[in-house]
Amino acid sequence: MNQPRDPDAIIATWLDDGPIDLPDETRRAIAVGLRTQPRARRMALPGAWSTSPVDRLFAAAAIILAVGGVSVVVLVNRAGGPGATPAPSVSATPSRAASSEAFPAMTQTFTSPQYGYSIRFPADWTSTPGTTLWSPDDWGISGSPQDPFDILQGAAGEPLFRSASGLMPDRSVVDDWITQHLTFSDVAACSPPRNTLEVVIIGGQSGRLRGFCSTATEIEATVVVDRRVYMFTLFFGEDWTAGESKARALFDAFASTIELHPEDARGPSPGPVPGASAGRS
Amino acid sequence: MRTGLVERARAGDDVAFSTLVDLEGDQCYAIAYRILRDVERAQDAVQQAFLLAWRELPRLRDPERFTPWLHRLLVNACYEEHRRHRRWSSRIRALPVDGPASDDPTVSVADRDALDRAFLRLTPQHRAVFVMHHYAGLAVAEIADVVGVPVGTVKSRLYHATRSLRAAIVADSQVETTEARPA
Repeated sequence: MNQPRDPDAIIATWLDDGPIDLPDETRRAIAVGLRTQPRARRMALPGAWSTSPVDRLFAAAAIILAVGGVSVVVLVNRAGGPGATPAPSVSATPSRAASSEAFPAMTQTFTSPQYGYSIRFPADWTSTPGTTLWSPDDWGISGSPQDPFDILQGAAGEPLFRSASGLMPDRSVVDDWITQHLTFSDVAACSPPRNTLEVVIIGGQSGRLRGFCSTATEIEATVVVDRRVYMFTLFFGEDWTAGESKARALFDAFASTIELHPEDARGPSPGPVPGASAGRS
Repeated sequence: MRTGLVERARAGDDVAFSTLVDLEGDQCYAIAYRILRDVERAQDAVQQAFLLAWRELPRLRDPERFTPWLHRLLVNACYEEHRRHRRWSSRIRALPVDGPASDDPTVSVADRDALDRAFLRLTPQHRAVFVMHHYAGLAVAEIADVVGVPVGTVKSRLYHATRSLRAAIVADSQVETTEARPA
């Protein structure tokens, strides 16, 4: 007669099997790698706010937003179709144009070679295109390698603007899928359902924006066009002391220059989307 | 002590960071191996995770969160290793477990083979959650923090992975029973 088998005990024993000591050769490889690995810089904003590069950015934002404010309102109104998700609030970007901060002009244009968008940025910032293709389905970890992302970066290292886009799976519900796969925070309360987030307009499309939360000094917007989800994140260093409103103004300054060209993105083309309004969020 | 090491390493002290490698390396390797089921790829993932940790450590806000932060980098490195080698996987047969095999008679060779095959069919995301919970002993909320998904997603992945592995054992048992039954 067979003895009853406990699958969980078998699985536990199987899982315990295997090596547990990191080989010395790997330790040595890490030690060697430390000598050649560049280190991230901690953001060190100058104490004199009026002379900082960020300060100059705000002036550019003020100009851009003043010009773009009216069109933003028009586009927001257009975005609210019969099937649109009720929005808790809409970005009030025009009011930010009243800022009298000094900004440099967004004189350079970065056109993503693989993600189907373009964005303008200041002359003294640098752009670095992603070197691998972002796969939003596999992603979801803050602090993960930045290789797939397009990066715009000032001389101080941060703030840092990070962008990418990728296709969502067929038949996925936009808000649910993004909430499940792309929203990340160390603090659970900082990851609310996407359909409760503030509505923003980026590249003429309606998206959602998550602001500062707890110690997470970052602002992130997601926009979906024909199943292609765009993610734009502006990171501020831990030394950021200018407050969220200035951070938001800076994000809006960048966001207002973004143009979306999903047809130019690399990777497979999305299939037909059932219902025109379902493809944009 | 560990917080002090992290703070020193964050400030650029590579000796302190090497001590952290000594303290955390075995655990990271054990986790990476169990996610990837491959010695060399696990070594690569651990190396990648530690080098990324060294590079990004200045950005770590709270030194006391070093270990979960490191595990997050490690899990992501495992995903990357899996992605890098995925195109070969269809040509590779599931091999017996590397390293010392257990003498525990409750796990037969057939069980191991069935579990290996079932585990390799899981996505790396499911594997990571399963290993973090059943091997590393992390609670669901801690895993959510490490892998960066909501708690509900962790529970769902854990349920799916556990069910798949249990099913592999049960199916294997039924095959054995059928084979053992006289004609």
